[in-house]
Amino acid sequence: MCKFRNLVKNEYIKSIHRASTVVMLILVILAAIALPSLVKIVDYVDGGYSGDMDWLIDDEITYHEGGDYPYDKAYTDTLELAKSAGAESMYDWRTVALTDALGESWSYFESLVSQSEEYMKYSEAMSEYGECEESDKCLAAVNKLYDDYYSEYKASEEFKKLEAAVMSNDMKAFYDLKLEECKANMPSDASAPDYEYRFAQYELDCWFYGYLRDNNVYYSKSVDPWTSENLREYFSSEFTDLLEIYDIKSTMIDYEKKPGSLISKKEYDSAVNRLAYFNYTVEHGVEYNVADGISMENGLDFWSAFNFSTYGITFIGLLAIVVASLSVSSEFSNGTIKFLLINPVKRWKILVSKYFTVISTGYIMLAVMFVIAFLTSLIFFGGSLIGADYIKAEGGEIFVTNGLVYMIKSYLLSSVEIVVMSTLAFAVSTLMKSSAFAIGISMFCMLAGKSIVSMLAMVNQDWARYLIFANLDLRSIANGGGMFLYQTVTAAIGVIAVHMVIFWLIAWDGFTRREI
Amino acid sequence: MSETMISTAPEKRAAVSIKDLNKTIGKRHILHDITFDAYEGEVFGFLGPNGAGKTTTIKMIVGLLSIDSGEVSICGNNVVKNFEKAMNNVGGIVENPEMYKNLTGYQNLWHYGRMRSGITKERIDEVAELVGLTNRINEKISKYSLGMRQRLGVAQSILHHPKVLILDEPTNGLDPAGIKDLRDILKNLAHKEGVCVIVSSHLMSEMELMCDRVGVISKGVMLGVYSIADLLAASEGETEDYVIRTNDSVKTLSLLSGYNASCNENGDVELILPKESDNAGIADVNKMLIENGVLLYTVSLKPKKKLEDVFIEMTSNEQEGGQIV
Repeated sequence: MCKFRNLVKNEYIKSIHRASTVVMLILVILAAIALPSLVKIVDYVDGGYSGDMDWLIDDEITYHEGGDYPYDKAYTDTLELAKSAGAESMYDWRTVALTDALGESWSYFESLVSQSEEYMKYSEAMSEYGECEESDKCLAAVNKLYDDYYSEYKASEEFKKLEAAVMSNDMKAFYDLKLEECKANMPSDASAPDYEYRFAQYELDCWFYGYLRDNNVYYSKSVDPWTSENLREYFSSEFTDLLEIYDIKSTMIDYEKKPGSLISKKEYDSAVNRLAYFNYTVEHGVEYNVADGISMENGLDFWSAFNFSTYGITFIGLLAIVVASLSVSSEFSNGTIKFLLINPVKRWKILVSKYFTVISTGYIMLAVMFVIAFLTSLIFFGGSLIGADYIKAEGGEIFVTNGLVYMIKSYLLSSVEIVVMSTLAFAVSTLMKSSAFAIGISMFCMLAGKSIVSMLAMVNQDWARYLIFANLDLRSIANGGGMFLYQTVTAAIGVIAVHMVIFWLIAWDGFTRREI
Repeated sequence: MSETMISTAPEKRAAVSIKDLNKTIGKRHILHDITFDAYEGEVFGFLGPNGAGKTTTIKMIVGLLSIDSGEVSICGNNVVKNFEKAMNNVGGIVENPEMYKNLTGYQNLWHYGRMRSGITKERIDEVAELVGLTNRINEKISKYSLGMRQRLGVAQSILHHPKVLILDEPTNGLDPAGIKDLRDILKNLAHKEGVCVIVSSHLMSEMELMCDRVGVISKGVMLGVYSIADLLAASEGETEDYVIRTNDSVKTLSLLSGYNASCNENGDVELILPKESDNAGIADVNKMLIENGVLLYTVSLKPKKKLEDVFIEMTSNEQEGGQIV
């Protein structure tokens, strides 16, 4: 054992004194610093951009004024109305309520007139971009139709009530209106085939508006993640949450009850998971999920930066290939192998000590990258989120992992690729006399292997799924993002294991039986 | 040269014992039944022209090449079956002294020291001193000359007090002083510490000064193992050759018709006489020639054959036209 430690020590000394190792090491450290810094730069640039982006009604009116299309006039008209009610922003609930109502009425109008001759000609003209000589005439006709409809709509009882609620800035009255509208839509024909679905949907709608009214939630669109602080008054996370619940439940009802539903099993499962996740966050008062930071969809933070560093693991892969190739082939190309092997150590022991050195170098590099990326992210984004959990819903169940533990797992999953590539490089280098050739072949495999396999996947060469390069990205495969259909982690590990055994046998045979 | 010349001292124990070694690489049969023993306490020269199979044999002894058939044992341990035990007793340089260029001499010595047991810092300093590298030991090998690397190679090979020291052309790149130092080191190791030193070379002159016995190999065949003393005796021969210069070679030859005499390319007479201690034969010839009126200018001894010539004679029979096989 003591002897083995000495052998490994020798290998480390030789490795660290090679210029190539030092250069690659510096590259790894630079990558570990640069990647989180890049996230910080993006955060800085984008953060400055979305600083005070309010969406003003005036801008919107200027943009749509004098438009040719039927909707334009009604739209600016509605915006003027919102303005006269005192709203300035497109995000104001009054603007949203009025434009929503207009949108609904437009859809209704479209369904009403869609069978009319003028409208059909119009849409034909629109779709063929003015090839119809009469397009102006058609447009005028539709405009006329819509003008009539719009005056009718504005004169309607419902609109009057909506207008009154908006003008008096009475959100509760607005919710009452919505609720009333819902209740009026209660399905009555219990014998209809989709009765169950419609009834469930009706219940959901009523619950939604009832909840909004009872809790006086600010009515808005869903929150844009990049929204800056000074727009927050227009958005409430409560509304966003409710909208999320509404969306989830609506999807589930559709899948469960609607005859001939278009919702797929995958979408349904995702809805189930979203619901489980939502319930969990409410129940445990979760304010932040590491997964959000990693996805970078809700802004950039410590975890976005930290997780971004995993892209640098490729550098470690390159380093490992260089270390692995040189470990064996440089002994041959420099002639030192003769001095190494006339010592009272069996060849396989030397091989194992070299392999151990190569693999452990890879893991030391991973640890170095982990620590440096952690510190860099910490410096740029502060440590307020460090204790956060990674929460994930799968199969309707919630899995909670500490954020740091999750990152360690991520790094370890990525390390599989490093181990496989260095083993390949190791096997190749036992067969080659030239270091350059050994490095070249292994690098080529690492860089070209994946593209070749994804090309094979594109042309439906299904056998390529058994190639090692289709199975290395365990993180993607675990998340269902493999190159081939129905790839599983178990199968991938199987393919990797078979290849590893082959590489080991080649290295073993090549090294222990080689004539020197 | 016959079997009788193979000198074996019965009390000596074989440190390296090689029996019927055969090696074929590709289609070429490189070694044919190589057999010899090298004993403790002697410097054994392994002599042969380029391409004779010296390095191949050495590589097989230290396990760098596989053995097709035959057996190699070092201090009683079979090299194949008992590799680690056998190699524990061996130190050596095979081909050129290639070291790790990015490491210093000292680091290189430690590198090999770590693979052996019981190597101390003192021992490393001691061997560095012994090969005269103390002042340069902390320099990187990339700055070493071939001679310095050769010295470091020797230092590396004797680091662990091996019982068998195998050096493949160790004088390559050494200056005359270095060669003399090495010779002294090796002789000292063999004769005082009882190490079996095997040195390969293609220069008989070098072997003559360094070795106790030489094994001669040519074209993959072991021609024989001879002690240097026997070889020297053989080259002396049992006759003396004289060159006689006179004013009249024809007359001289006729006068010497009773002797083994001939005329050489210079027109001088060459006379072969049996070896004698008192030179009476040549005195008689001298006297007889003068009495018969021949003007005798010089009588000189023809130079002896050197060991080098013996070696070339021995091996050239095997190598057609000096072509490397």
